Amino acid sequence: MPAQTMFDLSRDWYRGRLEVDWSPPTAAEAEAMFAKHGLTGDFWALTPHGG
Amino acid sequence: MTPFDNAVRAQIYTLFAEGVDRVDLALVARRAGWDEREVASSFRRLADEHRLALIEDGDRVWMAHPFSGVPTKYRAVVGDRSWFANCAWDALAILSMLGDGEAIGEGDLVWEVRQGVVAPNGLVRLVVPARQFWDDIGFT
Repeated sequence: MPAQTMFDLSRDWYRGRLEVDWSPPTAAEAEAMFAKHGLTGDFWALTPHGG
Repeated sequence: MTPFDNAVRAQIYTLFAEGVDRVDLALVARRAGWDEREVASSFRRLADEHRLALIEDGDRVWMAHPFSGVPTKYRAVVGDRSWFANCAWDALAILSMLGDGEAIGEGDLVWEVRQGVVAPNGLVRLVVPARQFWDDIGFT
């Protein structure tokens, strides 16, 4: 993937990580985050029918 | 995870963001005024949930993504401060959290980030599928 995509994904992925009330995304939420940045398909699937 | 685990996790990340290179349970306990045994238990629960990776019999943080608790060949540099990262992706991720700067890999500049724009915008190849990231987090 392009480095810019990796950076943009990181902004979403790590948003709030320093906060006490941060909680990790669910598998479905993570897949949606990947898809938002064009990262789809089996390589990015975390759920049985996702990716 | 318990509310205490959330607080421990946040304290770990705060220490790394401040620029502390070596984060262990003694430091976390001392900084927050917590009992070391309770922090040690929390470290194990956080590691079990893949919030951290630990070394030294679970007393020291190896990885709190995107930060590395050990020296690596990857660094994120913002101004006159720098942080060890676990990989090139994590070096970029640190910049996404902390500000414009440079991602360094194997001693060479890999990327610059200015106002959210990465240069050069080369391709990065990942070899481990997302669902297998934590199978061997060191390899990933």
